[in-house]
Amino acid sequence: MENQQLFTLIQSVCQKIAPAWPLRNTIAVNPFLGFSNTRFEIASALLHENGQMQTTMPLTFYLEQCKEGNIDSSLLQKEVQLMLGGLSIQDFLENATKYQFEMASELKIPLVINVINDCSKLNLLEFLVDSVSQWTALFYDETRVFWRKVYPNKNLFDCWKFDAEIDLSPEFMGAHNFRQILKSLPNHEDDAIEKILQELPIPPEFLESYLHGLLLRVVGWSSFISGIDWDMNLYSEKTTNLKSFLAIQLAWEYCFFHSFKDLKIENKWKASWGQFKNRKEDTVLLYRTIFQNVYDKTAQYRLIEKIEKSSSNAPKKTIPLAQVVFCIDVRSEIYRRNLEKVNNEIETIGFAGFFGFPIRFFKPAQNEGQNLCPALLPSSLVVREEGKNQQSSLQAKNKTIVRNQFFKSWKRFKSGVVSAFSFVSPMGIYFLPKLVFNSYGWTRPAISQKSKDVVEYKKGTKHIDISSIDLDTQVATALGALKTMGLISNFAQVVLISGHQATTTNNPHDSGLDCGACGGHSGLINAITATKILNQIEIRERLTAFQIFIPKETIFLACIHNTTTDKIDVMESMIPERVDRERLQLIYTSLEQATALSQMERASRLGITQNIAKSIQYRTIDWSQVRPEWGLSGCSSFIIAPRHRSENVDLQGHTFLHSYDWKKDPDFTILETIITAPMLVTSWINLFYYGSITDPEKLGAGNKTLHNVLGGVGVFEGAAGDLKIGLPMQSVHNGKNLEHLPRRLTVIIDAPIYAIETILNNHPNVRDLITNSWISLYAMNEDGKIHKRYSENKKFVDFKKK
Amino acid sequence: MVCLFLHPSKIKTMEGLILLLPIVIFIGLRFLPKGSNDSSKIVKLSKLVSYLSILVSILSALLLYKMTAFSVEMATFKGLGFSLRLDFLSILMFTMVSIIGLIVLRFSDHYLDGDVNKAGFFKKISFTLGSVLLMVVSGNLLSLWLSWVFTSVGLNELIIFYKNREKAIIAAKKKFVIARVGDFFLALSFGLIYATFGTGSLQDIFDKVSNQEFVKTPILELALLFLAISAALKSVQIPFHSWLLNVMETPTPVSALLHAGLLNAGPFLVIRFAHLFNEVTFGNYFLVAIAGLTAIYGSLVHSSQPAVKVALAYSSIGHMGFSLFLAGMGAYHAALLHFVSHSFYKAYAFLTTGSEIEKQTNLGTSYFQREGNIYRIIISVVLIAGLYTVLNYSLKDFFNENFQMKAISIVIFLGISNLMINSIDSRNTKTTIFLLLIMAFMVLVSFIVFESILHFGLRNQIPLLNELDTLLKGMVIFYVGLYALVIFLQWLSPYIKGGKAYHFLFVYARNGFYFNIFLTRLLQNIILLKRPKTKNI
Repeated sequence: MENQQLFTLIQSVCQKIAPAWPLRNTIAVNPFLGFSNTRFEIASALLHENGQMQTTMPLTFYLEQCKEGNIDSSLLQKEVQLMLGGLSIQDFLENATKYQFEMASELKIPLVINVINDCSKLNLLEFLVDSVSQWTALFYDETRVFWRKVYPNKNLFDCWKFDAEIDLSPEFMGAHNFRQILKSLPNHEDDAIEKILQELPIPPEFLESYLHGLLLRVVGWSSFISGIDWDMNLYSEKTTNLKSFLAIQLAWEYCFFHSFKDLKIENKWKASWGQFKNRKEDTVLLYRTIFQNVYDKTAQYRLIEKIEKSSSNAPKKTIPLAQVVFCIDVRSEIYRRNLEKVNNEIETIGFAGFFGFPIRFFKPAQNEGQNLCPALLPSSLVVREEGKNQQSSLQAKNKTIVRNQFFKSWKRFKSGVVSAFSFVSPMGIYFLPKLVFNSYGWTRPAISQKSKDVVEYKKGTKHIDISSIDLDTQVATALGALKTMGLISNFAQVVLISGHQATTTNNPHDSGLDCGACGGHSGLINAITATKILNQIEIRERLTAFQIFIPKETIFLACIHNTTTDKIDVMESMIPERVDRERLQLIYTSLEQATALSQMERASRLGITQNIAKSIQYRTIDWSQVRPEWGLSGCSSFIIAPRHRSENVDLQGHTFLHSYDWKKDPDFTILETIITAPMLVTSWINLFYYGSITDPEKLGAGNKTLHNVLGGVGVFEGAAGDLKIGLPMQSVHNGKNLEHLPRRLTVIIDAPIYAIETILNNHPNVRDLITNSWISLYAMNEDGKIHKRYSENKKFVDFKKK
Repeated sequence: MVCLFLHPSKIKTMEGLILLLPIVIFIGLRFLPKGSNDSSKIVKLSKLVSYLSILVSILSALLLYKMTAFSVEMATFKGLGFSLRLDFLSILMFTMVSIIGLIVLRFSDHYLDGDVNKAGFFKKISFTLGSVLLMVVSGNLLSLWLSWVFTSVGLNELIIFYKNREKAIIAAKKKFVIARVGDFFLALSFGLIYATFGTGSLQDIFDKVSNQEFVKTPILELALLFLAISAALKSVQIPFHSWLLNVMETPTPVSALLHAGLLNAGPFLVIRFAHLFNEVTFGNYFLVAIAGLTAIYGSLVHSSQPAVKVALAYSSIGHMGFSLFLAGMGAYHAALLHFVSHSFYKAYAFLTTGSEIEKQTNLGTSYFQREGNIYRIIISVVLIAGLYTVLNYSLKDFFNENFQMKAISIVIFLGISNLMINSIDSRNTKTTIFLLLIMAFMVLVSFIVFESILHFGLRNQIPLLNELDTLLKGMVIFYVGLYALVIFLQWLSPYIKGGKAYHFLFVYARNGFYFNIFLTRLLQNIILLKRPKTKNI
């Protein structure tokens, strides 16, 4: 194969691996991102063959769902007809029952290590995964290990080779001359890859699958490294760490291939390739896909029925008491519905939780900022945290510096070689009160910076400095934000902008419950920045040039929705004097009532029967709580329409809601933004949860009670093994039943179909997601009826209900 | 305190019964019939019992204050059978295990919510707790041996709580082999002790030793050597430590209980038999040799591990080594202080591993940087040397009482010197340096205070620190010298260029010097660990 061709192939293999982010800023991501342009069932088969990865549930699950009526039999009949031709539905179900305890076939792409493993007494595969994993964990460790690293350069492959050339463990495991064989490889990764692929007898037609299989073997680390490349490519130079990682995997294969020569693995490997070539189509997999399709459709029909039944109200014309802007997050749906219920004069708006302000946020004494924006965008607006005045800013800065230095030096003493003994003998006793206080929830093991921020911003001891954003940018961003959220006229006197965050204790997956649109952080800073900009008179004056007239008496107020407790905290220190206190009091009362109602609604899902408010509050400080809240579990649909289309429907916190009125969007640029950004993000979240259920081991994070945190990176499940990405079992399962059901996203858009079609034609990458069944798209007409479905033929077709 | 007005023997019997109550219920919970899946009752009950056992331990402590050490004989024959021993050691351990038990049970309640085997988990953990409690108050050889075996049986059940995890099974198998070998040695040792003294009652044995009413024979040497081996096996001394690294295959609270409550059994056993260890030589040689090495090994490997639970496991190995090292040189109160402190520290560390990410985020990701300024290093060294001299002079009784105290205080000062250098030779602001120096002082004061308290508590119940023979002294000096060397290298770490030796050391350290892989292979080759049918990842 030509050199050029080979590296293009490698690049395309690397692109099949979706990124993953470290736990300090978890962002839900579509784990099948590399397969957007592949049909769902083909991707399923590929992932299964190359990595034994499951994209559908076991047949038992679907048969159970059939019994419970969640799989419509007439729809099933149609689907079976379509996919299997002559087979009757009775036969289909009978076969499915027969296959239900059979695993999908175990035939997979043969890797050298698997061939060796099959004829070895030792579990070499496990050894290899542990080895790779431990080494990579140490390489990316940022905080735990303070041994100085002495690598020759920063290249992943070079560093690995440097260490592996003196590591004895493969030889202890019976791989003769491992180090010597490794030394015979060229030092540069490209040369090494070429040499390895020349020598290993891999059938050229399967090369791509083989390389993909190598990366999927340690899918956690592959994804993490892909995430590093993603971030680097977004902000600075192009990096290809994943290619280096692939080279490491190839080197393992190569060395094992040569060191286990006496097992005659070359012949066995060739035989495996022969078997693989003659594999049959996997019936179990096909059956599962059919079931999944119908399972999704049944749910879609029910949702559509539900929405249509509640004849939509006409939009209100009067100016509301207040407008509250929420994140599109499914958890907002519950709160919004209850807020509207307690006070129908309050209008709620759904919008991406960073409110259109892609921020890079610097805390005092922090050199690298946090990116508070979706992973698709680079952050561009720099804001800083400041104290009340210059002096208190300086004080805060110094305090942070001292605290950080203190704890870092202390940690060096505490965990240093030998000095640990001088720490434990005298200081160990002091952990007794700490144990007791934490056990009863009087203190937390670590400060919750997020919660502290809420208190301090509320009191006004801190504020956000936006002075480094120039005025033109401020106007442009404000304009974009207001337009996209559809708030260009009819301003209420009080507009609340509500970011969201969760509060949990001792939970490594905490950031996964925060705002994904803010890069896995709290939405508070974005909300404050947005209100600060929108409250400036100068900005408002300049907005008039764009036909946006914000009344003088209108104020924007930042607040934060705590999704664990469903309480909303308004940043009171930022309320100007002139505001109508009575009106404010009315709003506060409504918020409190909505909190109580939402808590009641969520309590049953959390299994709380009494003392609801207190029990929910306790979850935020309970250090042993593995299910503080359900996060986005249940998310399965996305409605892009004015709020009045779904106002009276109880969507049970399963639906993302984006406010959009196409009549205010003559050239459909706003719709284009929504379809290409928020819709993509909701699909990411949906498939993130989906994957965590269909394959809890490889796409989910396994069992929380076994989690073993790595410095700055993520978790292992147990002592070692691959890095765990995705969600832990406890986040999607209550012990008896699934809390998140495996449903792919259903999107309903209230807009003319020609507009949607044009936008999709301009963005084939988004269109692919729909035509390949990763997302289902429906359109709503002017009567609020869902009349069209986007088909595989890249256009809308009439949607007939049965 | 009605009971104080009763006849002393009646009080003793009552106290014995009260002590037995939580132990019996804890162990009994294990044998409740498999009821419904509803775990709430058993959870409530086990928590209640742990409150009870804390109450009992407070009561016993009060009683002990009035009556000093005593034994309760209940149903015994030739000193074997049911008898309890109450002294400073057993009540301190009883209190500690009760408190940690309560915290662990409280933690497990929400932590295991939704698990189908939650009730089973509580049964098993209660059984293990009950066994440890029985072990620490056992008054004779037989019940001590039985409870010793029970603890590891209970632990084994907890390790394989998730039966589908292959690594958990391997860990349990490794642990099983090592524990049975340990049980065997302990049985041998107890048999020989029984033969020597003609009684199984600890009280009688200790009395005979104090009054020199026994014949020193090589058999006793052998008995105590076996006892030392058994302690080393229980407390994960190299090369028997590798199973501990696989115990992360079971829920976090089990790790907390194991590291805080069960590993201590080794040093506990040595302190329990301090009277006898004082009479022999080889047992002590063995302990100091193996434990001194384990201490440095665990501590070194600990610092090279990126996964927090694995790092904590290596740290425990090191601390158990240090504690046994102290016990081996006869500094029993220091050994006791070390492992009791370690228990609370390690229980907390395990239960809060979930906060690791939050802590890292709060502190920012940048590394701590040493400055490498030679003047600052010299200032720190002069400061610590000065402090050592001044304290040695002013607290002569404390520091210079004997050889052992000198050795311990040198190790402590070496560690504190590390803190000093890290605070002074760095980019720390003056405020930070000041705060850290205060902390260094705090550490020193705490050391003196707690050491003295335990010294006082144990004064009548454990033989005084006696003169070591030359070989043992030499071994202690060798290890203290080794620790000093390691600290010295850390002082100079900014000047150490990462050469070849350094690179080798780092790679070997992160692999735990290959002990684990070696044992796995060894056991695999002998029959024990048949690999289940290959499951391709």
